[in-house]
Amino acid sequence: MAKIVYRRHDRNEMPLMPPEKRKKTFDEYALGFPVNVAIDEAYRCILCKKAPCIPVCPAELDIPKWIEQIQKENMVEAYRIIRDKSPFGAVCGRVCPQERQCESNCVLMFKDNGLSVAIGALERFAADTVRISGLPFEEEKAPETGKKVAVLGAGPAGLSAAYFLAKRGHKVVIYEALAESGGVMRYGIPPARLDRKALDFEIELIEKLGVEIKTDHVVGQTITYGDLKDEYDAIFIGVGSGRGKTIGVPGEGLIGVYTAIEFLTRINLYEAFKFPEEADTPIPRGKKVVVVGGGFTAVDCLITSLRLDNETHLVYRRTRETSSARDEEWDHVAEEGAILHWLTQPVEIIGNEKGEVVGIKCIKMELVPDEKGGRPRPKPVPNSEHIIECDIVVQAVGQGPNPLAYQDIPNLKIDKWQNLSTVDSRYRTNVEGVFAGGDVVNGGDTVVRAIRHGRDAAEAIDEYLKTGKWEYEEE
Amino acid sequence: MGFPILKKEVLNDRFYLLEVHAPHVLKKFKHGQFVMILSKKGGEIIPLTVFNYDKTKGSVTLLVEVRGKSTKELLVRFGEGDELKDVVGPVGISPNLKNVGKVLLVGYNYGNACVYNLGRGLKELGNEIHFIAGFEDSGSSLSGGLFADIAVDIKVAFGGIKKVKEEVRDFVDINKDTALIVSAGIPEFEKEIEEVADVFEVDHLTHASAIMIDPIGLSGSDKVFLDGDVKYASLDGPWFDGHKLDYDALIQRNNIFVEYEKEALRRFEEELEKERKKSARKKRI
Ligand SMILES: Cc1cc2nc3c(=O)[nH]c(=O)nc-3n(C[C@H](O)[C@H](O)[C@H](O)COP(=O)(O)OP(=O)(O)OC[C@H]3O[C@@H](n4cnc5c(N)ncnc54)[C@H](O)[C@@H]3O)c2cc1C
Ligand SMILES: Cc1cc2nc3c(=O)[nH]c(=O)nc-3n(C[C@H](O)[C@H](O)[C@H](O)COP(=O)(O)OP(=O)(O)OC[C@H]3O[C@@H](n4cnc5c(N)ncnc54)[C@H](O)[C@@H]3O)c2cc1C
Repeated sequence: MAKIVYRRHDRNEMPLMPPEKRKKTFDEYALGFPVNVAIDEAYRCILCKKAPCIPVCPAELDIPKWIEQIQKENMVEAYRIIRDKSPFGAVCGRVCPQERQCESNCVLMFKDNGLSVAIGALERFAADTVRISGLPFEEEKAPETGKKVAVLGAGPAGLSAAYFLAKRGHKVVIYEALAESGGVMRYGIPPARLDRKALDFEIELIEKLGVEIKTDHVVGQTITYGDLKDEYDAIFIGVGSGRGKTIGVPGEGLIGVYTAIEFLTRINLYEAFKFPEEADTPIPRGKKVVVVGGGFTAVDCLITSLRLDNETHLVYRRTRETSSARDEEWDHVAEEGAILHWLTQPVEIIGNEKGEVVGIKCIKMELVPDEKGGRPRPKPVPNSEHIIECDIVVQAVGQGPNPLAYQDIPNLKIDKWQNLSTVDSRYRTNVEGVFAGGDVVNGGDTVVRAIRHGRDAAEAIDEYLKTGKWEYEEE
Repeated sequence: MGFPILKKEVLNDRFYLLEVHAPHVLKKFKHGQFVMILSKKGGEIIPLTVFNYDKTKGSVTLLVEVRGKSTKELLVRFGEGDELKDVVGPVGISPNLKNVGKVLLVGYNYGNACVYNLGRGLKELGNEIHFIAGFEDSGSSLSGGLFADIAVDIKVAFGGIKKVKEEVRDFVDINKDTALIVSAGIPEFEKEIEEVADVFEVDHLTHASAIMIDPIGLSGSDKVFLDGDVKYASLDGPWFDGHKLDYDALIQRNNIFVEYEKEALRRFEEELEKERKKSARKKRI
């Protein structure tokens, strides 16, 4: 038997556009592996029998199995294996925080400070190759069952549920309030991080299975639970938890204050970056912008703001190390010119007599150990008030519940955050026939977890449609 | 799949009617709600009241005022048979209407469409409807006949906000039994009507024309302030207690993009001018 070669240190890195170039375009800046590099990287994987990367992937993809197909240069098969577990390989290959998931537990890392296989880059490679090559890609589905399922919300949770239900032969109709499908993948994550061609391709594959997406349908308004209940055999709620939150300091009503969601939606959904030539939705350019926050969303606001020729600052009350965004991403935005103010907490947004933002008043913070042993807490430093001059403040401090779609379901158990964490282990709500998954359940997480919820819920829905059994597990 | 325009009727330089096939909007529609339309990819999503509807045809009719690029483009680039890319709705909440007796509806420019539709609901409940249709000037004012079917009397008033305000004052001065004023238009106008409602101590229901970019309140662009409370016009409105609405804050927020909006309109008018010249040249040849 051939000896296994552990190539612990020669990980291939994804080529990036240089900072000067990438901050001038909304095109994707991570360029993807060339074929030879991808195959070389695939050969770093030793194809573990009991692969430690699998259980740390929230969607538990059979990682070595599809990497083996890349080694064999069979990209269609690789992509098919990915799709057994997730219809969004091209998306996840780009947006998952892999260093905390699959790439945090690769055998190559277990010794000598080894580096993980670039699993995310390979996932993206397999999916992109199938798309770009135009090779025929057909997916099988079970014979029609005659059952109908309504899916509320066309984000990753709803689309994933729809995909796995359609493959089981059920008729699925998705109701989406916005003009486009995709959820946060469309209106939140900027095209600089997620090429819309990749997203469109994967949504089209879902539609190809017969899933119908009705955009422009606000559940709770255009159509209500009462109608859906009569028309469908089961309902999956995947409406997310996407209402932009505000920071809660004086001055939030001033001109120039945005929620991250407004800022990103204007640009990503309505293409305001093409204003005025090719788009009618405006967004200010060439200003001084302060983004408040420290997660995914804050990074996306920085990326977006920099590309609009704004002088761009970040203020965050904790440190870089304790932020929830990826280290690499802070490096990227810093290279592009973002000015990062750590341990800085806004206390007031300051306006002029016309009601326009002119600055943001902040205080410095220090991290002190938490008495209860939790993560260190930020504490204000006395007499540290200072003002950062700016025209625009973007509040990237999280998203809140959006219960419009389910607030009128009689007796539905809604939690104290107005979300549906009340579902049981099979994603059942307490109302027969109604399931839920994704951010609406966990209040805000990741694309891949939403996909997993959708897949598991589809399995539970399938079982319910076959057996008619409903056993909601009370906590 | 878009939403076909069944009929377009140009009323004057400033107003037109657009009948659009959008049956999904009507299944649950209640008076006072609105739709949001996006005419094409790259367009701007804008809210428009359902002025009238025909359930058997599955159509909604919009009464549109030309204000900037989007409303002008709809007028000149879209006609019968063309499709609007998106029509979302209904959006907003139909306020809890009651039979209160004598109601004065007062609109200003596009606001007439908003009060008319709500007024239909009020009439169905048995209220006695009086209508003052306000316009900026005589050239752009519409015939009262457009709104007459719900009102016992209708008066067309033009000459700017102050002029319409005088009409409203005269009305409530004479009609001491006015139980409710419903107003809609730009907030600058509604603020003046509130002054009258306040002085005469009449209930006032008003329409918050806040900037909206999504139908489910994700973005919070449509924030309005009411006696210190924050509300969202697309989720909680657009109808609010006129005694409580902070008009100045709304005026301020409505001006956020003025410079950009002017630029968009200027470019579009330039484009139209070029086309006009080109076709004039062609004609000469
Ligand atoms: C700016 C930003 C960046 C992010 N970046 C990343 C990242 O890089 N990687 C990652 O893994 N995660 C990221 N996340 C988190 C991730 O996007 C979410 O966890 C994920 O999208 C949740 O999926 P979902 O399907 O549950 O909800 P959503 O994606 O929110 O989709 C819900 C859908 O339901 C629709 N809807 C809501 N209400 C109604 C209604 N009443 N009627 C009809 N439709 C309705 C919405 O319009 C939306 O399309 C990011 C989040 C944000 C906000
Ligand atoms: C609930 C509601 C119902 C409305 N009903 C009608 C109606 O029945 N008929 C009608 O003619 N008009 C109506 N309007 C007003 C209409 O939405 C604006 O006139 C339109 O958006 C202007 O777009 P524009 O591109 O032509 O002009 P712009 O030059 O872009 O804007 C002119 C002004 O319109 C406002 N505006 C711009 N964009 C938006 C937006 N996305 N949302 C809200 N306001 C905006 C701003 O105050 C702006 O200064 C309504 C507004 C609201 C909020």
